[in-house]
Amino acid sequence: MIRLFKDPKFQEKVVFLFLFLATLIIIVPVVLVIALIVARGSSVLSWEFLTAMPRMGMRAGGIFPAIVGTSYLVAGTLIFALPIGIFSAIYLSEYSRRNALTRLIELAIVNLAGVPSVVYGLFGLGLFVLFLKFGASILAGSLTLGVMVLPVIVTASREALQSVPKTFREVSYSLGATRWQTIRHAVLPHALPGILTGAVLSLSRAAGETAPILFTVAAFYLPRLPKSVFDQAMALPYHLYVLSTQVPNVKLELQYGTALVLVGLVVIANLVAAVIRGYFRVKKQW
Amino acid sequence: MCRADMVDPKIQIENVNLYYGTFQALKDVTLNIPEREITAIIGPSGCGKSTLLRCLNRMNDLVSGTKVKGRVMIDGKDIYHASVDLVGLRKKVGMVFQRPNPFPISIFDNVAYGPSIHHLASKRQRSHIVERALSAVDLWESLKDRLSDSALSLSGEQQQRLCIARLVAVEPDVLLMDEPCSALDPIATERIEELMRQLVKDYTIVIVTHNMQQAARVSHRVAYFYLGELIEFGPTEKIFTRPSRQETEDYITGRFG
Repeated sequence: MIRLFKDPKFQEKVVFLFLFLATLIIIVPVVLVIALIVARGSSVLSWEFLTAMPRMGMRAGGIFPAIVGTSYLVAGTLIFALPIGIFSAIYLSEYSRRNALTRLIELAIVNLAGVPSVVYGLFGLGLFVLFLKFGASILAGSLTLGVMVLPVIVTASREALQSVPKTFREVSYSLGATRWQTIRHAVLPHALPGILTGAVLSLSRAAGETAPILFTVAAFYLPRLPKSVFDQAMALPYHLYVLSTQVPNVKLELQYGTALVLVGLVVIANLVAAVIRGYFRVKKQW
Repeated sequence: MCRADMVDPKIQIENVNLYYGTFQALKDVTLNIPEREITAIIGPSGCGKSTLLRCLNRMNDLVSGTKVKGRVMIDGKDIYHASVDLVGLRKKVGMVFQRPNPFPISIFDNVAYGPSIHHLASKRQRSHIVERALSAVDLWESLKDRLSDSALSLSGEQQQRLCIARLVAVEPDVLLMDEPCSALDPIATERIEELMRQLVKDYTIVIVTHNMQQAARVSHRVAYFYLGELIEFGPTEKIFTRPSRQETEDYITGRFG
């Protein structure tokens, strides 16, 4: 028996089995979660569910305003966070030298990524809702979510920029390009797939988080569409929370249906990004 | 093969000292490079060949902690003077790198990169520029039907030619070549050398090479560097047949290096 364990070929098999099982365990919860949601939620999916207002205290009708609200929030988040995140990634990767300031910025980014989302919610409440007097609104919610996803975007963009070979920059400079021309034409196009990955990751997070929007935008029950960025809005994750814990006698299918729509939206966004990334990867290789 | 007198040197390097931080990479180098000739810079690794080359288009500026003392004059103008426009300098003094390094985009876009950045031409004229540049490196006939293919689909030699075409498209005066054949096989190397002989009719070429036969075959003048110092500079024939310094002879006969 002991001799068997010392046999390198046997060891090989054991190690392989272990690693494989560990990987398998990652897949299991994903599959189970999706299977559960689809099995329980698909029965309520209908055109009406997707496009109608909720009725009877959210116990019937559709979830249209929540879908619209989440779409607005995601769009608003990206409008705020993408430019700032990408610009600061460009600054950190292409312009700045490593010194005390950039180290401080890096530290801030790491810490920002580790802050619990409910703290962002309180921060958004304090800064955007109360101090800047935006009130509970799409604007305040988008800004809060934007601050939350900034580290993801900065880190992903920066890694994407730094993975562009140094020779591209050298060649561009040697042809007489300025620094900005070099970034614009020789670096950014080749970093785009990586930047896109960061954008999608942050999009998924912004769509799914409840805590940051809790105090800054989310409406408990608002059976109409927001008219401006200063309006409150319903949002899918918060709606799900409300259905599950705050409203008595809701059909379970309704909760699972809402979850299915949320997961579906995120999956679709991921797929679109994967397709775009694949397209770039085919076109640009080095 | 080369003119005995040097009436009007294209590039004058005067008492150049270059430091990377505290390390002195070039020591009091003085050298005149004539127009429309091929000048080869040879010497063992770490002797400052590439550093000198990168002085001539100020690519060393990209390395932080680099300090240059002395003067480098191109067409009588000091390129390290504060008023010098780096963009203009690098347009005029182009560089070919050790490894072929086309951008991973189409052949056409590679050649058009410089012209479009410098707004040299409208979109329509750009295809003329691309045709002329590719013709200058003998790629036009073989590639004219696949200009939209990725530059990475080309062979190593074709890629290096493409890089030279990309340079020629911005109409420089001087071509700096940093071991342009070190990643190529002997046949490709010979053909790139043939291209250099063609190009030298229009351009001043400075080439850094590890390959002494290459320097002997292709250059008009040779500068031998050792540990940051210029040991000897003269017509290629003279350097390779009767060098005046013992160190040069030791190096070119392969006794060391």
